[in-house]
Amino acid sequence: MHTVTITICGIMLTVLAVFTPVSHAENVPDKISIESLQDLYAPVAFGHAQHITREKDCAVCHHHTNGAPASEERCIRCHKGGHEVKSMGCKSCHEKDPFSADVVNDRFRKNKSFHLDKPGLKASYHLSCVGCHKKKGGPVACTDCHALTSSGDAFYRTGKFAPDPAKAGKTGHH
Amino acid sequence: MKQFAQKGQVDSHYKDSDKKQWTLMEKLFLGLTPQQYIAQALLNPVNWVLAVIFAIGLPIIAGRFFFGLNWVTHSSNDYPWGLFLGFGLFCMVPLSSSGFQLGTACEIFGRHDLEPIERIGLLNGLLGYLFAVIYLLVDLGQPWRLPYPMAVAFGPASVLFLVAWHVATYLSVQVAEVSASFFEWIGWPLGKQGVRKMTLGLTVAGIILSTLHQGALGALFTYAPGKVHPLWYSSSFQWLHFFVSSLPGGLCMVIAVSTIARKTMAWRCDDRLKNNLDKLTISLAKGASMGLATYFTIKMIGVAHSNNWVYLATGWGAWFIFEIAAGVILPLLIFMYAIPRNNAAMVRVGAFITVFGVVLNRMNTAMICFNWKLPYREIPHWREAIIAITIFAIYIVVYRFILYRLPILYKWKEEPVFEAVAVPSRSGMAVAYKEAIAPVASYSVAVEESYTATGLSSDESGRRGL
Amino acid sequence: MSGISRRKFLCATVVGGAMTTLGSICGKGGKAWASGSFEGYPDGMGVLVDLTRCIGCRTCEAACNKEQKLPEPDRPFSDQSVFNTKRRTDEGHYTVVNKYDSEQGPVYRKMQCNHCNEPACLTSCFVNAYTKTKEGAVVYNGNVCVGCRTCMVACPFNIPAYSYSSATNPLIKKCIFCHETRLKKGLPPACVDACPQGVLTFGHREDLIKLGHERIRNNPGTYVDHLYGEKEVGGTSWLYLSGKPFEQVGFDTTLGNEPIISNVKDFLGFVPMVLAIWPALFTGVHLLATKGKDHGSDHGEDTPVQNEKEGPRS
Repeated sequence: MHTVTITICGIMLTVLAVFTPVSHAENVPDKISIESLQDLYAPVAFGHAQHITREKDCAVCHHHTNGAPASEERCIRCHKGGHEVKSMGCKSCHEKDPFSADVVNDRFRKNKSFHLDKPGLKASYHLSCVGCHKKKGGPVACTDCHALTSSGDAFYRTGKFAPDPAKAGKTGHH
Repeated sequence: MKQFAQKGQVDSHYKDSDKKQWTLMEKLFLGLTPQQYIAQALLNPVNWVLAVIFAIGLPIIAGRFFFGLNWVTHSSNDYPWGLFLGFGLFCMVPLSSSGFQLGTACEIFGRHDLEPIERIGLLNGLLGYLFAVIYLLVDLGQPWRLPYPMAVAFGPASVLFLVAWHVATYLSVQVAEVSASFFEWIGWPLGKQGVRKMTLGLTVAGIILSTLHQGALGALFTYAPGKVHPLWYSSSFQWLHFFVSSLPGGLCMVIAVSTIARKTMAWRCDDRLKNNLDKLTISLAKGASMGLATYFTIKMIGVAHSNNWVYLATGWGAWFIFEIAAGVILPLLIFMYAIPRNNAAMVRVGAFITVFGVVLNRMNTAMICFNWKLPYREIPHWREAIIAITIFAIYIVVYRFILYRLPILYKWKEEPVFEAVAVPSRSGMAVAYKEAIAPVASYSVAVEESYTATGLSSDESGRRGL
Repeated sequence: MSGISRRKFLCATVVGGAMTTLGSICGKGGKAWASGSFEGYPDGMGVLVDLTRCIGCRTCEAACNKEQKLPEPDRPFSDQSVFNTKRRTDEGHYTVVNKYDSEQGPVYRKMQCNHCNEPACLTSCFVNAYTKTKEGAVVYNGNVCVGCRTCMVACPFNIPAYSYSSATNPLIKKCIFCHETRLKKGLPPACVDACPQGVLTFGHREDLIKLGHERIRNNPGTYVDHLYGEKEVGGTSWLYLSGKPFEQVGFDTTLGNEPIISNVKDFLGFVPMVLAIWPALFTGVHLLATKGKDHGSDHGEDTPVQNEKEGPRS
């Protein structure tokens, strides 16, 4: 039964996972389809070039993975010069399954206090995108970036799965 | 009213005219024929009011069990306890503390002058508890599981666990106490003797159980420190507030009930009660005024202890002041005025107000001032109110049914012939008993026994002369 | 009148006391463990809720509905109009998100059972229907529940709801941390899994407390310097960070740090005292009150007007 739930949640997680590894400027893709979480929502058609034009600085999203100096104050304490990594994608660091028993036991128990707060992959995407969109007035509603799929409709009880308004109010008073 | 006067013929096993015994049916019909009984019942307007209440209320009670609590209450998750517990349980129980108080006064403190009213006190206690449990049964989601805390699953860390066990035990104690009058009425002296032997044990058990569960009902609210308004809440004293206020509550309920009984069923009261009632009422009121004064003091200590004076300036404070002024200080003043003047009528007014005051306090704690931080008050569903009224009407009917029949308001007359036979054997029993324990008993016990034996025989001979 | 001697009275008193004890012995025995300060099971899990991250998408509500097989909602989970009123948990919703307006924009607050270290529902239940599992969940056994709803009165967070709509098997309905289907298997609850915004962090409660304070320290000015649930009513498995004062976003900040059971201790401590003292006290009073009188056969000076012997009891 929880497989169902995992699927549902996995859907969302999966949306994020498809950053093609790019470590050289000439390989920077103009369009990226973020589709590894596509279940409740269809893949996100991410305008990479558009974001590059707008932001200029890769480190706005790719914090300390592109060789640029780390931007966050607490990261600078260790990662002064920054360092280049093989994969620029979020999923190479941010776990798709951040709350599995292994991750929970491992990450938290090793007392890596500066990395304690590393969000999972899905959270990383959303925090990064929605956080910035909020600040800069970008779209923030769920369906602004990704459309609901049919299973998403079923999950949120919307579209053709919407509750019958005639039956509303049958359960649960305050 | 002439038909009423006919009732009350049954006050012994034997019809006055001849030596024929009343049959059980005749006892049930108060010595009337069924036709006469129904005729007089139809003449009583109270019965018509009750009939209307039952006609509406009983189907709704049945509906509650078919359609669920959803159908009769607002099924509120914020106010899980409505009228059934707020009124039914939390008000009926303190008003029923009369049983243990009169038992204590008569049996422990030796106040035998109170005996004409003792049985009303005991019956009032029994019925109050019984109907508190009936209200509870209507309110419980799964009433058929009520015995679970006794048999299936134990939650000993819970105050309610204590209440459940104590109310159950105390109900049995009260059934035993009241059964003495039932055994007299039904004509089973052995049963009565058995109960008599247990009287003191039952009475002491009653004190313990009452202290604890009257207090426990208050302690239940200490689970909700943030929900009960601070003026009605005291972590340290909540149980004391409930226990102490139950004392005047129970005594005044007896005054109220005896007043109503004296007015509406005078035919059933014997001279012993009629001639003593004013005096007894004032005696009870003395006790009640002590209780009220103590209650007022500890209420103030409660407010001072938590330093809640600031709340007095709010709307809640005004309501609190009304409760204390109208429900505690006013009856206290009435008692202080009326008792020295032997004004029983005024004392009765004070008693009714005290009952109102206790009810108001419990309703405030459980419902009106509960969830004071929430923006809305829960107004009970109309069906909930009707069920509460209907159960109270059943309470009145059962109360009246018993008062009409059992020797509560009057004294059962033993039959002279029977007594003559009984005397030697009973004295003999007492003497035999004395002999049996004499070797191991202390001097005083032996002396007491002989007193008792003498007392018995002189008593019996006196009665034989009647 | 039947000549009950003092000796018999003493016996009767003991019997009476024993009867009472029958009903209370478990009471005083069992209560002890509930008091004191229980810090939670060492390996107990918890969830850290960061209100600053929540965008009110209600995905957690949808996930809960699906995982717990709750009834169909009145409105779609994507419907934002539910935020027009403040909702609470009920039989169809084990978790709800409410919206609080502030000058800096809306703040959303998810509520569900906080899974207290010393749950008031558990300690108030007279059939022991609740259990605090070693994983940290407060779970409920519907097979023994009588339906008194004291747990609903006792819960300081107003979480347990009742399925009033059922006539034959009404039960308490509340979040159980997905204990049966997920937590027991080492999985996070469905809402945590579903949350896109990283509002919910699942982990060992001890670690989450560290993490919460870490986050406050690392993000100066972002958070109120308080981890709600770390100490409230004895500590809860669910912990909250907020950018707004907690009382402005629907939290009760007046609950104090003592577990609810501490309020009841005064009374519970009194119970064995009554059991021990009352029988002796009232026996003594009885002996004093009836000194020189033969209790039961002599009525003293206050005998009622009738000189007829009083018989019914005593």
